Amino acid sequence: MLDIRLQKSFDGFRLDVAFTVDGGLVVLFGPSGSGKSLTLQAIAGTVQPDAGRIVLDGQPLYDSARRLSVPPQRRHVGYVPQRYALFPHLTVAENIGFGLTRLARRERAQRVAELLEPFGMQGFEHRLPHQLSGGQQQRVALARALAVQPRLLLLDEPFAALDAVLRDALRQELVQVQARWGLRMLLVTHDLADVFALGQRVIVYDSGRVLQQGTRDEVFFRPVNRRVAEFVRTGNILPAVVERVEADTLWLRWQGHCLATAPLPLAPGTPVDLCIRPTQVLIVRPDRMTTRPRENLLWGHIVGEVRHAEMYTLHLQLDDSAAEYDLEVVLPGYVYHRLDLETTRRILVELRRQTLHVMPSHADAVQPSVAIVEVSHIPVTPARE
Amino acid sequence: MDWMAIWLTLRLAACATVILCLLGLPVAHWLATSTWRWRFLIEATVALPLVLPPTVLGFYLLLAMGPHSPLGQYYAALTGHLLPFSFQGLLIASVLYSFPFAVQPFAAAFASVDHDLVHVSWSLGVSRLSTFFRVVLPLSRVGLLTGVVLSFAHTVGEFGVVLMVGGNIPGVTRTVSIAIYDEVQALNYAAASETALFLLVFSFGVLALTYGMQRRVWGDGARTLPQATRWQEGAVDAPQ
Repeated sequence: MLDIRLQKSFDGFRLDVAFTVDGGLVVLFGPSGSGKSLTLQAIAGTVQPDAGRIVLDGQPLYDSARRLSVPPQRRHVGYVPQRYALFPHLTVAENIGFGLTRLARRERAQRVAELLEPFGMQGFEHRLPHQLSGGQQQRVALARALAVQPRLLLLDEPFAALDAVLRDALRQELVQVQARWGLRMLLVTHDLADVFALGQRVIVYDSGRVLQQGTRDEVFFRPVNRRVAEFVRTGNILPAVVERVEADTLWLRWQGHCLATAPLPLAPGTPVDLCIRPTQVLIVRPDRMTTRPRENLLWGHIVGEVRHAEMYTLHLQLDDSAAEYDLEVVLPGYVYHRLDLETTRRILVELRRQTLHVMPSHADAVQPSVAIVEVSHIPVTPARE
Repeated sequence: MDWMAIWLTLRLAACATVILCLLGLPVAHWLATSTWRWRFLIEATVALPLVLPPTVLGFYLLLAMGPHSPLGQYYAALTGHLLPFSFQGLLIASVLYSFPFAVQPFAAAFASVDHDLVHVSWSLGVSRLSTFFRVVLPLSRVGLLTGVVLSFAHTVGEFGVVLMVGGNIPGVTRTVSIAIYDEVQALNYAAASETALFLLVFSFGVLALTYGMQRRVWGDGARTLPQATRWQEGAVDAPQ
């Protein structure tokens, strides 16, 4: 378990974060410059915070109150920087075996061979880093970090330098590596696709603060405020006002429409941000109303559309609206054609209450003090077949 | 051909270069990695010999080494000779006036090593000292070689400081540059031109060899290359 509390200021930037993670793969997600890499460097020990405390598995790595800072050499925390930092003057085998100073030559060679095999890099022992492709370099960097059996692995934007096709393949490889070695990983990225492919837990960063932490579903479908919603590309963030609260319904007023959502203890008149993902806005055929009671039905005109490979993004302007458009709707191509939306430009949509997410309206950083639910303990020693 | 002067000059330059490596490498490493806010003062001090006229440097060196100085008195008590006008005194002077010619290229070489490489080495459990020898030093080879060559060459070529501190004693402090000056003053152009030509050819040879070696060192990828470059044979990624 990793418990962090960090503050560092310089040049007008202030990092002030606190979180606890346990087990598996955790993603630090946020825009460039929000302090994610700095956090990694503080954990690795290559940067000294101004104040705070870092505890890994009960062992304090850094504690400003006790003026304690364990040198990076003794932290047993693996670090893979953004561009892999392979030693350019050493071969692949020498790179991977770099940290194995305590082993005799024969054992070291054996361990290197054991590490090359799961990455499919046998035969590459004598290559130099500049002779490797980006994906191969990444694998070597990973193998090098794993060779010394770290307790925690830190990865800084591991896929940023790779093209899209390669990224997908290597994401899957990383998940396999994590499962195979049972290793805890902390991964920094600004790419939402990484979050979804990898993040069992996500910590959302912005401007040096943590906005939200939780599972990827929580962050993706229940962002805690507007800023997080924007980062996860929620699409439709609608400013609304609480009208009244009933036992089983919360009524909100948005642009003259009355919308029903799941009940929340909010006072009437409270401003909120309402969000619904574009894929969850349902298009209803009026003649095909089912027996299921429908609510939050809105009529509108399609005023714009963008065609993607297999999906369509529609911009919907609701009746009586003065805005350019009010809702973004994303649907698969076959639905578009089945509903004949090319000709039928006036449609009825339903915003189901389960898909409407209500957020407080202020965009302050939120630091929940809720303890993270413990994932079942994952052993750190490599699994041997 | 003044072989005594040539031999003396080469001896002086070699000794000075060795001392400059021993002193200059730690100083250069500190300069390259320190974050002390007053570091610029040290940098300015190191760079002084670059801008001071040799006579100013020579003057202060005489003061510092002369018979009335603590250093000079200590040396006189030890050996019975004066420190200025001795080979040892000239050696001290040479180390000082060639200092920036060693330290600046050394520091630049150390600073050019990607910090990430050092950090990764530390995270793998390798000590700072070991990291220096296994990562920083090999990757700084080019700059270190430049520093060594420049300090050697500069020591060979110095004139003003040598004249003031050395005193032109044959076999002891009469370096090649002084010897040539003497010959020209005595209108002995033939002797002067022989010595000068030898020195010219020798210096050029050393420099050409050094730069030639540097080209080869550069060629083996001494820096971490950007990612989107080499797709050499066999380096194509196939889905596993």
